[in-house]
Amino acid sequence: MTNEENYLRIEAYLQGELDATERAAVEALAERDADFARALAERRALASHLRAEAGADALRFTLADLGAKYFPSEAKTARLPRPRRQWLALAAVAVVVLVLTLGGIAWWPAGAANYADFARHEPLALVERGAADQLPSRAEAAYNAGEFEQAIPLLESYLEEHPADERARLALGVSLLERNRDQEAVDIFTAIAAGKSSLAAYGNWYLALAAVKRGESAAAEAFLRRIPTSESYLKAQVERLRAAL
Amino acid sequence: MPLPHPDHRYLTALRENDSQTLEALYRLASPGVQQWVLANGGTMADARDLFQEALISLHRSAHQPDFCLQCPIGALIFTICRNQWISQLRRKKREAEVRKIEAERYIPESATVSAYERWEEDQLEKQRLDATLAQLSETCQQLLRLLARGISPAEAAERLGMSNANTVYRRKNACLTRWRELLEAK
Repeated sequence: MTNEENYLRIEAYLQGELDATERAAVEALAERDADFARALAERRALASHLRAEAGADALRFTLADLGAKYFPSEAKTARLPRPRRQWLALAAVAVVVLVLTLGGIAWWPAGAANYADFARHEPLALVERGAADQLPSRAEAAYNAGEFEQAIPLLESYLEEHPADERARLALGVSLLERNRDQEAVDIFTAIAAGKSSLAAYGNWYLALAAVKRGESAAAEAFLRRIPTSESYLKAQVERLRAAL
Repeated sequence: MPLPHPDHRYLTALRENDSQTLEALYRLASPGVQQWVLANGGTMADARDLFQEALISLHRSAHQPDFCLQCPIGALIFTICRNQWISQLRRKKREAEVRKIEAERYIPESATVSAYERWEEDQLEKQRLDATLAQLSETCQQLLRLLARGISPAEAAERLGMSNANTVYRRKNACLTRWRELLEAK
């Protein structure tokens, strides 16, 4: 039997496409042919590995919710007696305001993590080639130029024609978030995070950023925990935001 | 094959992402891990992350057709979390805390030790497969992952810019041949 035939046989076996007689024949072949047995074992291991990997993101989502419930966040600092605490708080605020003022940095009320510091969006590529006046090109150009008000209706029109384009949908969410239409943005990110596309982690990342924008650090942390550690592109950003929360 | 421990149902719940049974698992096993991590220099966030990552790693074991849990799952989770926390403390050079933990002389039952050893083997196998997959071309990795998610060959063809499902089959064959070469070269 050729390698090609073996490949197809193993494929059909692992996909559950063989009847009982054919399955028994594959198993009998594995018993008498060590090379075939090894090839079968390796492919079975890879199939299990990929299946587990595919299910891990959705599981992480479930576990993040349970983790927040069964491992409640602790108070971060011990309570000091009131007079001293007030004095320290006032001194700390004075120092922070002074530093920010001297440094020319805008004050952000959301806490230590500043939305603007983390809102760096990947460029959008809707078309590889196309005339500049075509809708995808215009939507892409407006988004990439940071013209979010202009990008919103263009992306909405584009999505009417391409409803399955999750990258465009994510870009629409980002544009809405940037234009302070937060609830509409959150609805989009929630749907992306709950979906099975490769952008689910980005849905959670932007849900965390939307929470940072609202000043809700605990919620932001919960969304960050849903992002798989295997997301190499987001990993450094997640760690940076965690440290700032 | 010996009969599985009744807690094997939690592994099935991990594989199937059954949130109700997983909540029961958190109720059962999280207090012990939480208490121990807090008593050994960790925070609640450390305990939560250790527990979650232990379950994610067990989710992988749950996908192995021959993985049969023979010990209480709480004991296995505790052992995984304990050893992971010791590794983290060592990486952070917090040796005094490591010595304190080691002085406890915690000895799990033999069924738990066997389950833990099997879990370690699964983790090594995961590293080996991750490493070989990472050496494949970006298209091969995407193709194999899309198909593993249950995406149809026709849809995979569309997403990856391939002409049709037949091309997907041919590319998958080529990717798996290359993957096997990489595996054998290791």
